[in-house]
Amino acid sequence: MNWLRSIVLGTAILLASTALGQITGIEPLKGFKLVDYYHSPSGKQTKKAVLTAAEGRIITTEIYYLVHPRIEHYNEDGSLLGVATAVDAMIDLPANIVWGTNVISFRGAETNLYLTGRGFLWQPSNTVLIISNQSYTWIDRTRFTNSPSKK
Amino acid sequence: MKALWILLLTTVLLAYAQEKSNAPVVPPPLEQPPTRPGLEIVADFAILDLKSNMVHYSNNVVVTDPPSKPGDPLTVLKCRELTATRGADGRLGQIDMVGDVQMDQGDLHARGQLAVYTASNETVVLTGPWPPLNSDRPLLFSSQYTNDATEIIYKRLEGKMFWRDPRTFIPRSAMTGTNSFGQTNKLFSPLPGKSSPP
Repeated sequence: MNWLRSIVLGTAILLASTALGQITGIEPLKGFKLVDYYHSPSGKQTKKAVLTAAEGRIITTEIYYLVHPRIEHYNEDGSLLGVATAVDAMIDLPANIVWGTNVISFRGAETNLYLTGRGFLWQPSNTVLIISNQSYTWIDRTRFTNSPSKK
Repeated sequence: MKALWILLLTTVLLAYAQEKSNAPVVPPPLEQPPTRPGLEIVADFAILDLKSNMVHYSNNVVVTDPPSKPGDPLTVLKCRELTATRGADGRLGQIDMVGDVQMDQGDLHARGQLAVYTASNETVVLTGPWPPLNSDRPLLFSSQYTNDATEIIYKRLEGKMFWRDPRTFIPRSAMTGTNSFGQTNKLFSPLPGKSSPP
């Protein structure tokens, strides 16, 4: 039965090494949520951006990998400005930036602006989204311009 | 021996649990573009600045504008860089197109270096030279004539183009024909309306 002992021992070593790798390297992440705020001089905080992801991985204590992240952006009066969704993304917490090499889509709250592309950098602090490849924008002219309404 | 079987069973269960936890999550659908017609902008690179209500594009920028009147041809604009800004009222304010601007609408073609679209009057003003044809002014041409002018003005709501201080170029082939005067006169006739904007 030496062969059986070898298999069991090998499997145990493999599992142990995998578990060790998860603890020291890539740790699973569930239910990620990060909220950024506007800071008014009076000290009142209003929601600026909410980044959520159902799951991901903790790469380091400061950098996370997120699967299907969703970023909601709000005006200072609390109304929704737009929503961005991506296939996946990385977030650097100290630098406060989100980036990815995959597809991202953004839709304005009033559905009069839609933007998508591949490869992006999102800076929540200054509300800037940079798309580095294959950008496509759709603008509803009837809502954005003074042309006759076609609604 | 029994302990070995228990250990083996445990490892199999652990492996199954890990596999289950790694199972791919069904992705939520990405935001999709509306299906109704709208202004479309394609480019290699884009910056959306929500705080300052500005979108900037560069590298192979192509704008497709559906006609304001049904049945009219599409207007397609190409340039190197494009910046669109929104006014305080949330509507599109101005679009600046810079660098080798090409404006095509059916058989009408305009060329220049700077095009400024103002949303309040739905007008595009094209200025600047067109070096590929050694023109120091913007060009407007069709299959029947070629004009240059200090400014070429496209009024979107009317679907017409106008120009300031125009010069008309007659193709050499038209002048060497047996009926050159007739062809020359014919060249002037299809110009849309006036030689200067109203």
